[in-house]
Amino acid sequence: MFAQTIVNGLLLGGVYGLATIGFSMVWGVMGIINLAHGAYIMIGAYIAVVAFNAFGIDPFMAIPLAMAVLFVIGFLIQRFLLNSVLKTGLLLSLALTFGVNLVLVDLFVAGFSSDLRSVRTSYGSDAIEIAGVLIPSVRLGACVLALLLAWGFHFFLSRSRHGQAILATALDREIAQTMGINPTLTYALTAGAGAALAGAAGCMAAMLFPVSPHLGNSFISAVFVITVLGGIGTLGGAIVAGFMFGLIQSAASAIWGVGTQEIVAFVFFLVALVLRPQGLFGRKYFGENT
Amino acid sequence: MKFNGSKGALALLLSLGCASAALSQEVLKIGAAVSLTGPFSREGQLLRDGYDLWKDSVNASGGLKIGTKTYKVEIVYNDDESKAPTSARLTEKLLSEDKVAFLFGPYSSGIATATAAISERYKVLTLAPMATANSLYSRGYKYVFTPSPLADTGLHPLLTLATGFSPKPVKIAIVGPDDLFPNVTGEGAAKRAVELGFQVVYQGKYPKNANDLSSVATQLKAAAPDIVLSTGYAQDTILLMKSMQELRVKPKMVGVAMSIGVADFRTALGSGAEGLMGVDYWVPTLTHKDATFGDSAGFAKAFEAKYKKPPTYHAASGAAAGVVLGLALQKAGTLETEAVRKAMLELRGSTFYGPVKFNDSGVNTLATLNASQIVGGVPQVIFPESVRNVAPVFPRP
Repeated sequence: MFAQTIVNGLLLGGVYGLATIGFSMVWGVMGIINLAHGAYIMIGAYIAVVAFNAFGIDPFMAIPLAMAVLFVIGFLIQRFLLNSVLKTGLLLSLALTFGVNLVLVDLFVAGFSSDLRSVRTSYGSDAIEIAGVLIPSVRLGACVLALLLAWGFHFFLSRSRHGQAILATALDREIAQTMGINPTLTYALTAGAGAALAGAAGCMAAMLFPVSPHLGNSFISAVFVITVLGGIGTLGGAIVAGFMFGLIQSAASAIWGVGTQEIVAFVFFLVALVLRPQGLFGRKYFGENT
Repeated sequence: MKFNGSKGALALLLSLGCASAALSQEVLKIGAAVSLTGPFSREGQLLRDGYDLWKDSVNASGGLKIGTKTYKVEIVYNDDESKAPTSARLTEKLLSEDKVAFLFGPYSSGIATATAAISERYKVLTLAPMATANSLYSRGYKYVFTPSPLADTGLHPLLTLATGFSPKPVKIAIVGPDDLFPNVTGEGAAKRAVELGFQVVYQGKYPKNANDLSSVATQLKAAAPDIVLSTGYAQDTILLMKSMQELRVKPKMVGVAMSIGVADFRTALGSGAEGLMGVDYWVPTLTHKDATFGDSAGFAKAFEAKYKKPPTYHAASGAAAGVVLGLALQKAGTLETEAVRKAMLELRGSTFYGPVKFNDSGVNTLATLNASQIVGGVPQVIFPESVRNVAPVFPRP
């Protein structure tokens, strides 16, 4: 039973990690805590729901579409809303993203109502059995894909010109500018890429959880904890901390009961912060060696 | 010219008619702080649909005749965002600023506990059809009434039903979110289960907002019960059922305290809902009568005509609350709270939702519950036998 619980938590951790990367990068690169990130995940989930229920498109196949749509949304919101408040400091960007989140959630309540929706694929309840432990196919697929996408994003950051520009801007905005990097575009790209990854995580969430316009709210606190635990703005940190978060929650529920999973996860989070305030993988400069 | 003149006279007559109608018809203002956003937004909206349908039915029939006057019903809604403090604040606003004469309660016992404290202070009568936790009605409150059965009986019909199955199931697991109503329902069910000779092998609570319930499903698997009873709300119950499916937890009977009548609960689970049993506050086959809707079939028809979807028990309970208030108002012949309260306590009658007789605590002592099972994708009434459509399927396919 213990092994089963651990496997469940670990597999979910991959999705948590993927959901966190965008949030963490945006925070690290621009210093914005994007409270609308949960809404991005929710929109990704709805894209999967509509694609599957209306067009019969498999949720895994809907991921590129969700990523493209969310990229555009994230890019535009950053370019036309958030960029203009960047210089004014943290509080205004918090207020603004909080507002954006409310608007997006309420738009979906108006358009889709609060009815619960879900994606039911033919393989939805399949599982692979290894030594008495069931590995649900959807969770396994989502976890593997989450890791692949994270690796792809890492590749984009470290190898492409735009990725390098994002890292350089994260290191030092002014120097980056003198090197000919356009910060407005770079910020919008970061936000777009972050939103795209959130959209992918949303597609996976649609297979695992019932979908309603409030789906993002249940993610955002986990995303926040994972970001800080992993180290703000670190891609690898988000993934590793995502797994740790899943693992701690499931271990706590296996040992002390389901009711304790949140308390234990948050206590662990506090202890980790006291011992290592920059997060497990945090560095002095956010973009350094990501 | 002649034509224009007659047209002018007609217009004058019409406007006079409207003015006199407006003068003679007074407005009965009822306040409701319900959850239109937040985790209870679905249930809150369904409840509001029920309140609104009663209002529309009454107004369409010319209004509510109370004493010598006829009243048009108006309901002032506020969104409590599924939060108890917000609901309490809005209730205070409804009473102090909007000056509503009566209140319709919010969704969930937790929130209603906060609002009842306010309405008691203002001595304003509240009909709370979806607040059924026993604790709310054991505080000595005088002005809160519920037409629905109390929470601790929430799973009793399924337990009674299970005693008749053969071979008789023995081991029971009871699981649900850690919240007021689910806790009361769970404890009530555990107590009754022991009385009926079942063995409670697992009783667990999970955090209300838990993202993942696979660990609960794992624990259920280890406990290997014959019956799993869930006290959860729609969203977390879907999650639990999905996790049980994923981890191949297959008890002979699965029963849910809420949600069986909720359409999107069933569509979200799809074929995974087949064979699920659930308790219903209301089913369309009930034959109790009232003057507003006729019977349950009449209510269902009116609901579908207005909302283009089948009704749920939330909506039925909301509409029934309206009918009960209407009956008490007509009996009292006045809007004066104490007189209406007295009329409420003396009320002996029925709504399409069921018979009504309130005790001093505001509890409907004649309220009963029904049970349904998903057969062929649709909920069929299986209990009590007098109103059932089909015989229950056991063990679950």
